[in-house]
Amino acid sequence: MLRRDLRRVEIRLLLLALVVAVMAVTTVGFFSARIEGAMRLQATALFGADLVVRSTRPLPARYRQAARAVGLRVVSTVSFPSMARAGDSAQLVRLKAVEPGYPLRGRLETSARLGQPGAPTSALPAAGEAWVEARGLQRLGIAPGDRLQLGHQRFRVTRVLTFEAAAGGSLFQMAPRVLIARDSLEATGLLRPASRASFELLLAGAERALAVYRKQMARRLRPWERLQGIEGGRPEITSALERATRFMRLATLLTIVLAGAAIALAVHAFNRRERRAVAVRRALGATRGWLWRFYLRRLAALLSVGVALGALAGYLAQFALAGLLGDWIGVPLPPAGPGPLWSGFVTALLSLAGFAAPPLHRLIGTPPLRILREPIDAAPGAVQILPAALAMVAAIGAFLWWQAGEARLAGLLLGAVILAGVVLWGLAWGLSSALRGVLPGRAGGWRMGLANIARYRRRSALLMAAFGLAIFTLVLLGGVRDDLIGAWRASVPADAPNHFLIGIQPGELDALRAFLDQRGLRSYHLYPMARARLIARNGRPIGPDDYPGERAKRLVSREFFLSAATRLPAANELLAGVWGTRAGGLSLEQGLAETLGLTLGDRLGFDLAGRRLSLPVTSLRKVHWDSMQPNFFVMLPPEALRGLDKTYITSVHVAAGDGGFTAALTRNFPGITDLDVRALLAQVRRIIEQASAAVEFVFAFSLLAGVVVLLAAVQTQRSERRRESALWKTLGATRRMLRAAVASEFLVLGAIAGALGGGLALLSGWLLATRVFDLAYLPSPWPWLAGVVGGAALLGAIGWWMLRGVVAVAPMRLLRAAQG
Amino acid sequence: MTDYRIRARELGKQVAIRGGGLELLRGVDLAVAAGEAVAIVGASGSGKSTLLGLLAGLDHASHGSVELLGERLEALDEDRRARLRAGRVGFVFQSFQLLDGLSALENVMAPLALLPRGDARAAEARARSTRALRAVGLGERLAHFPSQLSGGEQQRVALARAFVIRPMVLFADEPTGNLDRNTGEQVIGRLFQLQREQGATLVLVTHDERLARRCDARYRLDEGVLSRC
Repeated sequence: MLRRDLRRVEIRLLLLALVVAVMAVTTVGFFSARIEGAMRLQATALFGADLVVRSTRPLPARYRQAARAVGLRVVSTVSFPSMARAGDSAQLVRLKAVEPGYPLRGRLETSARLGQPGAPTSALPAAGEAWVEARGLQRLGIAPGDRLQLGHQRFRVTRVLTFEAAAGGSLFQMAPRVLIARDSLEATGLLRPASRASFELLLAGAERALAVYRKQMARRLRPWERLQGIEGGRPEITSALERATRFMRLATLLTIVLAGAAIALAVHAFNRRERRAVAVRRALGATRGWLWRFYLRRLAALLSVGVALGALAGYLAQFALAGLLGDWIGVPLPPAGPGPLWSGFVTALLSLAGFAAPPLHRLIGTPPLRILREPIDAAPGAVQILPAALAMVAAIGAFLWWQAGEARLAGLLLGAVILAGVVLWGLAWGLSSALRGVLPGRAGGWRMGLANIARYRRRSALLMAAFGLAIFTLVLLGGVRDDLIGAWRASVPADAPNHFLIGIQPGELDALRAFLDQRGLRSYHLYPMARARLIARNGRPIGPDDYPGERAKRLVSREFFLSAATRLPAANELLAGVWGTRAGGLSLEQGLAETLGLTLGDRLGFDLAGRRLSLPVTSLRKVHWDSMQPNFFVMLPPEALRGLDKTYITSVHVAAGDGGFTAALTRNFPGITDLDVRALLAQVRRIIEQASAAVEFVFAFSLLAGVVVLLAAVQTQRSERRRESALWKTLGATRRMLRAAVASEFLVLGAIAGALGGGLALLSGWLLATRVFDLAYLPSPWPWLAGVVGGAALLGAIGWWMLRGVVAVAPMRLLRAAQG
Repeated sequence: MTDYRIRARELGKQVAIRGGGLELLRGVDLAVAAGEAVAIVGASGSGKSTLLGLLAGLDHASHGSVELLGERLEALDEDRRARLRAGRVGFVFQSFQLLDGLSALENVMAPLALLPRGDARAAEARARSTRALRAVGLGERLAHFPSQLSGGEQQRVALARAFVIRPMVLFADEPTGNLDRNTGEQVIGRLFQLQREQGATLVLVTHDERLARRCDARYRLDEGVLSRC
């Protein structure tokens, strides 16, 4: 039966829609699972312990004592970015000072020479020795045996560090690592109050001991301290990866919606051909139950084949996706588990249940006599369509609900699709009705085609709505994709500052200004920075427990840098209040103010390393965080920071020709960290290109689903059009005329559908870009024009291809039909 | 000299089936003069509709030749045969074959849309079609769709569609086959009335002997062989 079913075009389209939906879900599912697996593996490898206490300030000795008391092994580390020098070369490194016994879990691997494979070791650098990553040695132009300057201290490089458990840091760890003994750190003089150091206490031991320690520490931890286990130790994924994943989910959801529409249309076409057979079967005594079993068996067979083919295609496709994005992660991707297969099966089941069952119910439930008397090609009325439409909405809703964690995206998407469907149907119906009065039924294929749009209102409206929905989805997704990629690219402008100078001491300011002036660098601003924690609002203490949201809790519990400036920084816009010293108050970043529920006029209390400061909020700012300029949540009048312990930060754009900048800077100012972000920018650009390619790849699924919708929509009318074509031929229409009629009808329908779908997509795109992806959205006429031209071209081609056989139908068919 | 609208000589039709060929028509000779009404009778499966299709140029013959309105059909490709029919040949089918999405008036206007531009301006086409529908008694049903009409009404719309072009030849394939006796009588009465008024040549395929007797000449088709009754 399945083999016979598959000879029918509408069944093949139904199967294709199922395969596309399952493929989209499983590809993204397999890929995400592998990425998550890789991140877990990486977390374990990076952790080097069972539990870590992490802090931005030195950890009290009692934490170590408490751990030893419950039988845990303990080792501490300190790490921070710093400049390393060798001769005239300088390089930003991640310096890590470790105690004997490090790491507690995982291992270190080293080699004696550059280019040699690493071997595990239980040793550590001795006093005055440094182990350096190969890329650090290469950039500094040195090898094992050479000397390395770290702050005030010279070290001898004795090993090449090839692998380090507990390397820590983000996925995009850029700076090469340098490992030294904890005892050697003091002599470098690098550990300053603003060194951005991370103090860690690594712990390992029995599960029960760990649980006891966790419980004890839960009460003791101060706001700047965190306790991390493996489960919480997954590295932060970057906003680029996060956005790419969200886009993939969005594309998957839209692919499923489109595939569902294609399934509904294919089943509609199936129904039209099957009604006579159902009538005969019912007349011969088939019960509803029998018919349900009969058709459900056929659907189950299709479901099995669809899931199997879709999952196989998805499994193969995710290799391509992993190839594009896998090397972001830095560790080999683990093999995919069977989880996404289940997602694929549920997707297919829900799609069939929502989109195919209602039309099937209608097919089976109609009395046989009525079917015999009803015109076989009669289109269903609005009342008949309503339950099916509701079932479809329920199916989409169920699926989106199932994809937990994206409630707002799901809601927006569902709303947009339903609204688009209703609006498109209404507009299409109105337009085809309006054309009825305008277009004359005159000779000539092109005119016949145009007249057909008005003559067959219901058919034209269905095609326009289906085409419009497909184009809406594709233009919307394409627009979001372009904006996403554009925003990524815009985040790394070519003339952005490429060096950040941090940790500048107040005593170094004049000398640094002279140094920068000498090198022709003038457009920079030196911002003071002081660490502070928000502790009170309008005289009442506030803490993490006052806020339900995670972000708010984090903002209140962590320390952030306060800064000061007389003028509003370039990458800031004043949104409310008055800026400047005249106001005598502080300026808040808008997002921070919204998250913490702070408003103009609130008096905020800060703790700056023991000193209290209380000021009213006198302005709110919008900050462009991706401007590559130093930016701050809270800014004060300069006099407010007077007498406080602070350092300075600035960013400069160093021309490509000034290769000696870093070396000269570190020679003159050994304590200043020069964060050369050129390599970071290049890395980010490379990631953006990879993410763009991945986004394009997933977008292709939606495109494929869109094409299946168009094919299915045309297929629903195929038999009706065959009969009409035969009739027109008996009346004297030539094949050329009929071809011209089909071409003009589909070109015009495509253009109208493109205009309607594209217009709606622009509206929804604005919503998605601003509400979901947090992107600046500039409406452009190009996606709309692309919808019009693309719609006309795509539908012209599909109509032509699908209906080429219809035009060739022999007029004798009418006489044979009469005999039949 | 007699003016023949249709001439068939030694006409034969074979179709390939599994295990050999099937001969549907053999050596059919037929000549139908202008304004003549000819009936072709025969049992189901005798090849009546096949013969009608060949005479109207809807299909091509395996042997022999057909001349329709002075043109040899075997020399024409499908499109040129269609052009020959446009505006000159009308059809009435057993199952009406109306276009479901079009109203009665639009169905009748359909063949006029195929005429060369200028011959049937939209307003004129509308007026002609309205007259044609009034002539079959459906002047009040212009805007109705096929699904809103009874079988007899649908067949009368089909008659109006056939006669709106003032056809030189009308092919009717079992025109009363799907109608009850009374309705059939009414439809066939209209058909002969319009045929006589317009002087159209009629080829009527039927298995109804009574209906056939109303024609000027009767032929019987038996296992693919045509003979005059």
